[in-house]
Amino acid sequence: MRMKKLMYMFIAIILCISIVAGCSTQTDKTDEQSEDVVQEDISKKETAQEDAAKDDDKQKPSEEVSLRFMWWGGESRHEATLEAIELYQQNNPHVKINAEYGGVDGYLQKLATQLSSRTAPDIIQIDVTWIQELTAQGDLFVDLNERDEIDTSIFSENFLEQYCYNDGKLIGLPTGVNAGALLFNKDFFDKYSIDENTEFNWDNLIELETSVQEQAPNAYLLNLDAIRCYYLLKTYVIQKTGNYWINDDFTIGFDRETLVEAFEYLNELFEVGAIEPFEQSAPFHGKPDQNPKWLNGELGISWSWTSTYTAEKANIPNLSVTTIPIMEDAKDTALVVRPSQLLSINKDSENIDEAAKFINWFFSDTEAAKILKDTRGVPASEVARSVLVENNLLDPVLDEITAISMEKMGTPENPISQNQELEKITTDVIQMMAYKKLTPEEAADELIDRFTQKLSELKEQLN
Amino acid sequence: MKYYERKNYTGLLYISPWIFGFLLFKLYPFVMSLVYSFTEFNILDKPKFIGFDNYIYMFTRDKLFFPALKNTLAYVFMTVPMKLAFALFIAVLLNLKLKNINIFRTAYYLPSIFGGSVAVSILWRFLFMKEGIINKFIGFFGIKPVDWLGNPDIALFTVSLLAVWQFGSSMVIFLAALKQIPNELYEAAMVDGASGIRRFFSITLPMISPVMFFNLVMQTINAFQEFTGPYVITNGGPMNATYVYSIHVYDNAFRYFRMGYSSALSWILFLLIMIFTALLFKSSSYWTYYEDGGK
Repeated sequence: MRMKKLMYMFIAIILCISIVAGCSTQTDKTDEQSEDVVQEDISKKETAQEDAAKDDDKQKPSEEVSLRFMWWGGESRHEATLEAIELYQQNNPHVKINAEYGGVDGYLQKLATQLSSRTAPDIIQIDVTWIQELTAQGDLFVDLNERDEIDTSIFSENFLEQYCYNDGKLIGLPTGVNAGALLFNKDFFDKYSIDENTEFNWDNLIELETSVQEQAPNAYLLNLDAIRCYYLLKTYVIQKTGNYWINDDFTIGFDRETLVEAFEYLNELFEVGAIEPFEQSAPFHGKPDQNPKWLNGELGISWSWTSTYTAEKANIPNLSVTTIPIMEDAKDTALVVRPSQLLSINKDSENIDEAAKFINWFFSDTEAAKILKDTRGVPASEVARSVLVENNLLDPVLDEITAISMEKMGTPENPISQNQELEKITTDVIQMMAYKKLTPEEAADELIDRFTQKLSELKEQLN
Repeated sequence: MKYYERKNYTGLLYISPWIFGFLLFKLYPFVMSLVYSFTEFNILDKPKFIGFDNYIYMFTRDKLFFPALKNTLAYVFMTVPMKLAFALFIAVLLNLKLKNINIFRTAYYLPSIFGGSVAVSILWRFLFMKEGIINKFIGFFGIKPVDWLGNPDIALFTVSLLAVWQFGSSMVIFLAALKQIPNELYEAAMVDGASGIRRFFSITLPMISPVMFFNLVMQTINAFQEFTGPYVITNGGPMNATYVYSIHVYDNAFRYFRMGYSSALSWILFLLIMIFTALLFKSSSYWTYYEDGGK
């Protein structure tokens, strides 16, 4: 009998251990769900009203049109966009817009498959980095300059020219302005008495950390994973050289000496403890914004984008934003300022006219701007931006940093500099250095070695 | 004759949904991936035939092919024995004749239902991170916090624990096999004075060896293809310590859009799994026991 009881106890204990894990999954799941692509026919609610409207209207509305609009984003962007769509449908009862939205994970894969099988939506949110890849496959998007429905004068011409054209065609319009930026936690700054108006440069990052370390050895100034370290490294090198990271002819855009210097700088950041050691932050590689230390205010600065500011501020109330470090004698600021995303129209769409009308409304209507706010970054459309400023809907700091960034904007990166395989190589090498398997010099040699091999392969393949 | 024919058609009709699914979603991709493995293909362009170049590139120039292969083999050799041992252990416990044992049986199967879900993988990240629950727990015993996921030497082990935790399906199969062992064997052994341990190794293990074999084969095949855990928990890091073969396949397909090369990688994995399975089948005649002599 005793034996049996003991047996029960034992089984129950093991069970508890495995169940504790099982129960807590529920909370995590809600987070994940937002990333699953959901399809929703918002217009359902409208159908009734619509039918009624139809009967009343003397002037019969043009034939019923249904459009598909696909985008990626987070919760707030989804809600705002759905609300805007609803408003548009009320104003234009003959148009039905089917929203297809989800997280960015897998979005490009899905889009590429849809485009190749000619089942892509009518209105598509795309990223500027995909333009070359996508348009190389053929003429997929409508030239928006040819559409009279669309007023392009509300955008900065320079900005459009730098980013939105391909082969002389305007293939998309910028939703927002997104600039590389440092997000910082004011609580952290207060705690370690750092002046929040500090203009960061490469030297004072190290000085600041030294004083932080004296106060608390477990507090780190920077929240950087290997990918963000790559941005930092690239920025440092480009400010020194004034060149592309990789030239258009698939040659390396820097010399060994500069790269060694950049790696030495990065290594110093690790040595003084300015970057949280990878041993600790490894589980959050690729998602540093989810690092609990960052959320709890134990990390001070995150190298990120202005576009993530609003979303991150929801988690960290005292978040602020400033520009990235720029050397005094920088040959190029290497400050990336680019459209958050573009909205494009699928060339295979059956209702290009209606899609163009919607896009124009999306960018130029004041009501739409008030609904959409800055869920796609500070709006690139001048109309939308001024509406937000007038109505106090735009964080003044964010607006200011965006304006400064537009001024200091560096040369836009060429596509090969953003190649994913080169990113993988660099993040691998950075990790090896962070784990002390390579010295900065060795890291530079390793990187040049692997880049040379990969670039010769890519050249063969892409030409 | 006619009667049988008609009967066949009905049967075929019944399984037609499966056949349809199999042809469309299994056989077609299977064949096409072989075709694509001899091409350069980025989804949007037309595939370009390049012969065996993908396979040659894999073995001569791909810097990540062998590390990924090594990680996957390490993962398989770590996960499969741990998982089977654990599943058998729990199955033996749950085979005891206790009241309400069915509740426990159900409960222990739960982790397998949560299974390969992303949510559980995320949970793993939070359990094993530096300030995670596991480190807090071992802290009670005065053990210093361990970088379960940040230390390249143990990250793969931590990730494989997730698979071990999902022992449910093997356990249920083991449990069924344990129930099949005739009680006379144990009774006879007890009369002869065999100890519990002796009975386990001389009766239980041989009697369930065919099931052990089945589980071994299935789990090995699964482990070779493991993706979700390493991808979600550590994203292949740190320092590629958990960069398993299927992440390499995924990266090439969906990050670099090298569908052709990725298909070639998959086919090498397929061959590898086939060889391992064949070896297991060959070896099984030495260690599995069938009452009817295996005929």
